[in-house]
Amino acid sequence: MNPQSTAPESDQALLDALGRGEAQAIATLYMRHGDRMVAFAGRYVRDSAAAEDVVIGLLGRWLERPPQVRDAERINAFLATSVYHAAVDWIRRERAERGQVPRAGSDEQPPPKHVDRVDMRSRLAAAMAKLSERERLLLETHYGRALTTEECMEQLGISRAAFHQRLHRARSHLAELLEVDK
Amino acid sequence: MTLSELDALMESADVPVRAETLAAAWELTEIRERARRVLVLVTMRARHGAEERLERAVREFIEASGGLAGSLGSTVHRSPDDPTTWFLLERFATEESFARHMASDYFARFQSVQAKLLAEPVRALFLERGV
Repeated sequence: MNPQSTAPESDQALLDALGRGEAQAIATLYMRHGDRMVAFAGRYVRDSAAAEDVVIGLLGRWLERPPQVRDAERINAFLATSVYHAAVDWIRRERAERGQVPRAGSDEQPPPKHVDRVDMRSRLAAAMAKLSERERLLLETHYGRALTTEECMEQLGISRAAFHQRLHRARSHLAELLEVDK
Repeated sequence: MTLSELDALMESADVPVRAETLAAAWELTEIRERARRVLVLVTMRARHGAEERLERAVREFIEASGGLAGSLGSTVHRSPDDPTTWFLLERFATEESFARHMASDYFARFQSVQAKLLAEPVRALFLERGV
């Protein structure tokens, strides 16, 4: 990454500078988007100091491996995705340090033995791609915690009772798809 | 697959979440007031042949600054394009703790050591949000 003294003006210029590895781009990005990045990380890590840790850690990684983003119109999607994954990694590390076993809801279960962790991600992605838009959103909310339950209800225009009913159906559908794919 | 098995699988796997879903969450995120901290990004370029000594000095400096009250931690990153360049990200709780850092013995020691190892003066950028 190379130092540069002038701040890129547009988001496209900023992303280009970030991809070229210019230190000034990190400062400008943090100035323009840092508040939202930290607030967004806070949705997932639930602690303001930890949220800042997540974002600063991400900036550090970008210093070593400048991100390549071509489309400035997708800057929010890029930042949201980057911060989300950094927050998920942070939560995983925290849990591992505390020696917590991953758990879902109230049912503590080990991962199913028949699922090879190596291809788990691609199988999940393939199965989720077969779901409807609404089912995906429900599962991204429930399992990925991408949205809050209330935000998801609002997006889908449904009540809390309907949310839980449809979530149950979406989980069943995904389980079926993964069973078929076994 | 039972729903309990699915839950366990989803908890242990990376759940594929679409960028557009996260972008929607991004738009819904409220920015709240929070304590302003001091974040500094320092760029240092070593003289030819002094790379290892500079890295060692920077790491000693980071260790020393970690003991300062109000220091929230520092990290060092090597440039992927130029192996003579290092970046130092330093965080402090307040302007006062940053001032104590600048006035410390370890800071003065580092200043005198780095002067012999650098190819050019250090560049420091203060990273501030929403200004």
